[in-house]
Amino acid sequence: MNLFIERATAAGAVVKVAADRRRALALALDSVGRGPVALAPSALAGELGLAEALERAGVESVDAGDPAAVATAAVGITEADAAVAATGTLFSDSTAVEGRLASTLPPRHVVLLRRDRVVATLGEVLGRLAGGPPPFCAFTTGPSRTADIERVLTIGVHGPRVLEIIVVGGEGCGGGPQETGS
Amino acid sequence: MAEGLKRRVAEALANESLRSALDQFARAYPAAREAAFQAGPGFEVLREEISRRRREGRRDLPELIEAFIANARRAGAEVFRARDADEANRYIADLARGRGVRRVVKSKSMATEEIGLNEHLEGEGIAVRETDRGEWIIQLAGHRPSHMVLPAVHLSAAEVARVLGRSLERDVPVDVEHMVALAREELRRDFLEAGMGITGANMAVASTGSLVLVTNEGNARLATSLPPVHVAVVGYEKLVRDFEDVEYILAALPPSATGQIITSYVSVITGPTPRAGGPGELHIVLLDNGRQDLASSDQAEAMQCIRCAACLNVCPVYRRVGGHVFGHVYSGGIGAILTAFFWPEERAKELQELCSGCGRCTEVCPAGIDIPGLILDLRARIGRKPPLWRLAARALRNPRPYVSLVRLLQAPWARDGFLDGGPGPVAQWTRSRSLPTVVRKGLDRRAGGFSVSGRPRVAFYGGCLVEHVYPEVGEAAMKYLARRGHGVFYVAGQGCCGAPARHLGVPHDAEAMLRQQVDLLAREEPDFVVTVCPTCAKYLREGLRGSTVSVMDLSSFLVQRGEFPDGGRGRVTYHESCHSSDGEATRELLERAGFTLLEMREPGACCGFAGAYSFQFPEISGEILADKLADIASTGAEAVVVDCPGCLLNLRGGLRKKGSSVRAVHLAELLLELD
Repeated sequence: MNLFIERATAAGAVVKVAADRRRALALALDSVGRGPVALAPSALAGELGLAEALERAGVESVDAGDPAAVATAAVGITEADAAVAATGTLFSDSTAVEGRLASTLPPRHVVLLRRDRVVATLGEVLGRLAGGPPPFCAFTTGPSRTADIERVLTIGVHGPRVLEIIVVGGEGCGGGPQETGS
Repeated sequence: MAEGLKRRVAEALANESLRSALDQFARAYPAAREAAFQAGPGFEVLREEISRRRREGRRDLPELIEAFIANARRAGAEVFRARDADEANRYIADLARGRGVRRVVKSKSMATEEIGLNEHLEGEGIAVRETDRGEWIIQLAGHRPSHMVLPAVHLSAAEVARVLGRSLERDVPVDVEHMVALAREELRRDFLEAGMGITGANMAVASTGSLVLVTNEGNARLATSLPPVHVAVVGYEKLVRDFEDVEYILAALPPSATGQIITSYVSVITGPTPRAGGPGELHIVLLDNGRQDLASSDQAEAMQCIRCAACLNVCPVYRRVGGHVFGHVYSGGIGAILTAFFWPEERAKELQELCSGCGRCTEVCPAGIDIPGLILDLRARIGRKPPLWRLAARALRNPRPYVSLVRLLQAPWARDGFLDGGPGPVAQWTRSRSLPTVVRKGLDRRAGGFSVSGRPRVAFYGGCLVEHVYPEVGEAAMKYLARRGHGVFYVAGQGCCGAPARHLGVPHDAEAMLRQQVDLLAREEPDFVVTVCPTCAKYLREGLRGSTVSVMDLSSFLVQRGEFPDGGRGRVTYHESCHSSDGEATRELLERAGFTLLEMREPGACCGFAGAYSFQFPEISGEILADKLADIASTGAEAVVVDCPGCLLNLRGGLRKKGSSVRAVHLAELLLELD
């Protein structure tokens, strides 16, 4: 976990660790701010009750399946299926179009990650794909970038400018000893 | 020398913003690359795996292709095998027309550059928008890419601002972040409205029919997710067997290309993916366009290339002239080889001349490709062989009359053993460095009968430069070895090892010369052959492979026998010649002798001599030398030590031209002084 946080942060992501679902929800609402939000449907988002919480908070949600709408969102939220510690990489089956749109069009991308889904190496994830990968597998490390002009590294090209990862502990997520959401 | 090439070289060398951009990159790259590789199992491990897998992949290519096509189709993709650029372009244009596509968005693809896809589609009335930011900029500027991974590396920020300003018809400040945000805005609309997205692929996985796309910007993700049709153009070299191959290549590609541990996005696409409006379509165009020819040629090893551009990133010639001069779509040494197969051979004829043979590319190639070796083979087949070079090759076989002639010709310009001018091309050859004069008494006349009894028996081999220009280096080496009790002797009648002829592209002469020396040396039945030139050592070693004779250069020999001098004093720096292995032997000798060894920033960077290169491209060689001299000066050393007479020539001549007081000395001379 520490290696994952170190490498993901070095790649430009912001990593926040939540001890349980309640704290994770609070962090997510915090990241969303005023929205609008493109929320890609996912099991973890459902468990957190994220959609309802956003509505209660009066944050506008756009149709996550409509590209033009998602392009107007300030934040996209998706769930990662796994993460790789060695490189600070998130992995997700992004076959469903909502996941791809929400993770690429809005300038901020927030990713929910179950704590127990972090593995050591890229090879472990690639090994699982060997048997038959889903149509679109997305490996994401940090926000989008380019160093094309005079090799000046610029963040936020066509993809998001900010990548925020909320690691969720607690029941069903492989919760560890007490950790404060930071 | 072809006028056009010389002119383009001169223009590139004079282009300050190009030079500055390439230089900046070249300086930053080695450390970034090293750090990125250290995050994983390390470069050596990866190269071992990747080169083996790529070699096996080459062997099994037909099966891999069949498996890929079957699996890709099973996953729902359409696969088209294009024999050449024309077939690929027509397939894509027909598809676009059939789907009513008016606008296409593209993610960077060298293969599509190669086939001229953009021009073809625009000719059919379809608008093409490059979305990789570097590609978009050069599209607006009307340039071709000058690097496989960073296509706009040749443009400065100010030039980019000008290009953007002109095409967007507004004032664009020279602010990189602003320009990037501009790209995002302008291109976002295209992504949302385009009817087709075209990409390349970094790998095509046979076991599952998947494509792997490695990017940083997010444009490949958008191009494959928004438009309803995705077309991927994939050269056959992209075929890999399975996800193990993917893992290894993925561990080496970003570190080699940009010094990153991994890129921001890696997408693995298997079959069509759903779009917002319904199911998507995936069309994979597999491209031959000369690859099958390459795969069955002597240069087949080039099919192992993973298009990482590490070779470009360390090439001293590319660094000075850029990819528009040292390239045609594909640049650098590997580019010259690919160009010879993907276009009519003629196209690569001049291009391959630009390779100096320094070998830095192959040191960093994750696929283990012997790029300089392949270039020499190509050169032998398609290179020009102008009369001057054939004369030079003949001269090397029988130097005596030519040496006498040169001694006559050099006389009017000779001063203190140097030439700083001369007839015809000699003026150019002496612009960046003074040339040494050819001596009256060569090594064979000074040391002809030199023979000392002892063990082991060591045959001394001088090589051309030592023979005719630096006999004192040969004498110093022999004396030093003799004093240590070795049975060293000079082999009378020795001549050129053939290296210069090989580098000029006349391998028959080279083979004959090498065989002659090998026979001569073998007849003497020595235990060792010791040289004072790593290049000669390399060729003699190949020639004597399988015999009981061990060929070594002086420093390796001494270190192996544990013979270390002392009495060294003062600050020296060490220049590694291109054909030395790692310079550790000489460094050990210098340090244990008591010298203060001050390292240059780039001790392994070429000095610019590169055999005949400094005579063929004196303008490029001069630039390489200038940087090396600046590096030497920055160490504060009093002397620079070399193992190679070619390096000695260039550095001594260059230091003299600069009026520097730093002394260039061959290790052999230095050791004798200490004795």
